[in-house]
Amino acid sequence: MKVSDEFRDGLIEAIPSLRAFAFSLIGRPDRADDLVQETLTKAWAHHQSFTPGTKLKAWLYTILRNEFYSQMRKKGREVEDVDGAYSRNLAVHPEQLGHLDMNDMNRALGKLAADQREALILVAASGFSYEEAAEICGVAVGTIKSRVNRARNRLAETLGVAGETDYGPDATSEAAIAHTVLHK
Amino acid sequence: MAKDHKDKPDDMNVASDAASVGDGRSRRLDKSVQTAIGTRLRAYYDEVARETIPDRFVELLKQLDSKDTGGKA
Repeated sequence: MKVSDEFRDGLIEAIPSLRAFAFSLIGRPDRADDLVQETLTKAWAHHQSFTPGTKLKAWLYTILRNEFYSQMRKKGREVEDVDGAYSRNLAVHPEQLGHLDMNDMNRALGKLAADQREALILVAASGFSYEEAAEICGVAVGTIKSRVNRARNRLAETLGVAGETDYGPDATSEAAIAHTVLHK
Repeated sequence: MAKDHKDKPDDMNVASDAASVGDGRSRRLDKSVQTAIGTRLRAYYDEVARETIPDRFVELLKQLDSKDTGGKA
């Protein structure tokens, strides 16, 4: 059966966000785009197993995610070096990761466990609900919630978004002081 | 302290408040952290999503298209 125009358009429309998802999982633009390419090819070949009327984006994310993990399993040790991959990436594509925030976030994501990273990205960046993320990852909603939670805390720690000082009213004054110091 | 939590009746109960101080605080902390992390994460994500689609994907779709129409027909 031929791929419908609607399906084709849906694929094209999803490419930017698939690239962002792949990049945040892997931390390397070249590998991320390879993964997106695999995803699109698979999706095209299996278009008949997509149920029209359901969310194409979620379906594509599921394929990308499965592809990512099957590659990880195949490559084994090589891909376990996530931290290394993240830092290498920074050297290769400085223009893509223009400002410091990108670098920081990329490195911080690289420090998360893969399951926490994907849960956080799906919910906090890709705009999926906890339920949708649970379906994409094939786990319970509660599992996603706790992964997102742990990922957020870890990320906050790494990025220095919140510390002990955020507890009381002192946080405000300390932030003000920090602000003043930084902008002198 | 309870004044800060008018929307959270649980916190009005002093006894349970005392028992769950750590918990309540971490939940409150989470709110601000969530917002901060969320904003930065989305900025990071959108930065990639906003990029022009690389030619390789345009080529790929053309290729898939031609396989579809040409191939086994």
